[in-house]
Amino acid sequence: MAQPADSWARALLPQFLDMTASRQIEIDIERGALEAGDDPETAAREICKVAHKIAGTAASFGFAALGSQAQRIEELCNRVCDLSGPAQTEAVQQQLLPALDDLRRELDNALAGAG
Amino acid sequence: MGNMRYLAVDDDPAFHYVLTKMMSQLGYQPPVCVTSAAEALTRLSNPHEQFDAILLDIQMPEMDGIEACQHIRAMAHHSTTPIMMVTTMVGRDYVDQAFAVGATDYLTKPINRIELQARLGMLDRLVQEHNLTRSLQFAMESMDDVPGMRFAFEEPVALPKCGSLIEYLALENHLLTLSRLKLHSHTAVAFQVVGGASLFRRLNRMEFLDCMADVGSAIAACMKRQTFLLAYAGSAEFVCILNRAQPLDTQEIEHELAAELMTYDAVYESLGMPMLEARVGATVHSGLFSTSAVKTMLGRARASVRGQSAHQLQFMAG
Repeated sequence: MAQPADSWARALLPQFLDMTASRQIEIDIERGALEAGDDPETAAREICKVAHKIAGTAASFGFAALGSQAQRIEELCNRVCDLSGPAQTEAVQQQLLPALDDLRRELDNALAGAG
Repeated sequence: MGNMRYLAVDDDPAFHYVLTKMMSQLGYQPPVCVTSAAEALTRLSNPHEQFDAILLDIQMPEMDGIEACQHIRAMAHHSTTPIMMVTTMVGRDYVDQAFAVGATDYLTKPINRIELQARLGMLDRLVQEHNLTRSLQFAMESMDDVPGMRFAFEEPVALPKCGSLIEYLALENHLLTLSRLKLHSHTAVAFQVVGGASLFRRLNRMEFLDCMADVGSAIAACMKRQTFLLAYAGSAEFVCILNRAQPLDTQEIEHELAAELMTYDAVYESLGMPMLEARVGATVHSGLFSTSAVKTMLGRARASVRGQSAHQLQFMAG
């Protein structure tokens, strides 16, 4: 893991990681809805909001890859919301769900590196 | 800058941490942080609470930053307060909307210290300019103070009581933001008041500003069919930025502008003031932007109006 350069970022790292772990739980809940396929648009919208927050600050705490992946999730969620029918289902299955797996891996790396 | 009071509006507490720490490191007061647009509007509507500038996240639940910006601009005491929009690169489609509703600048997340320092420095300069404008307005409202009004012909002063215009610095920021976000396809066109330097020498500062405000209103009326941003650039010149590479018949615009300005003739004649006349420069299209290309684009638009009429000259910038 890249260590944050600023002392304030190092000091606030535990809070940031706690907050991000909570956000991962929020994403996991919505991921369940995505996999069930009930209302993918609403689930994607909610995931997008959470990913937006991670994307906004992760790099400031030394997690550039986590931030980039969160930004990619934001883009994919917007794309899913713009689609409908089979194209939407395909975008969820082929792009968004694998990208969420990658986000989870990045978060695990961040938590492991900080611990 | 140490005394500047900022309001930061963002629904993410982690962003508040980051911003507060970075601003403190840069020698700024910690910003006042709120987590919703509604809370921000409550704080801003209190005339006893003074804020010099606002950092406003675009993507927030319930009311987003674009709508909040509109509400803030509708408050008389915040009609010119600098507003810097903040969002991730994914939100770059909102840039035009943000500037159209009165945003001053745009900062992308994640923020880095160098960019934050540059953007805050720009806001400091804007606040200073606003203080100058306020003193000009105060002087305009008190005729006795007119001789005390001071600004150079070249200065891109904010024109009072001219709602269609944004400030020149904000226009430059808009183009620089488009450049950072790799959004191209914009067109610039400049307008020049004929005999502007002579008007500046002949009229007092209040009369000169009134003239420029009238020309600005006339240009805005001519451009109303397009999506545009217009600013007074100093030296009796205006620069207009059009969204995307829209075709523009500058000859027709020049004729329309002449007709618009004629509506002021009777008033100007009765006041013994010269009739207003303005010319239109060539359209300048954006290419691959860089900081220098932005200045070049605006500079070329202005250079064209100084030298030649629009239909004789077409530039490609960038």
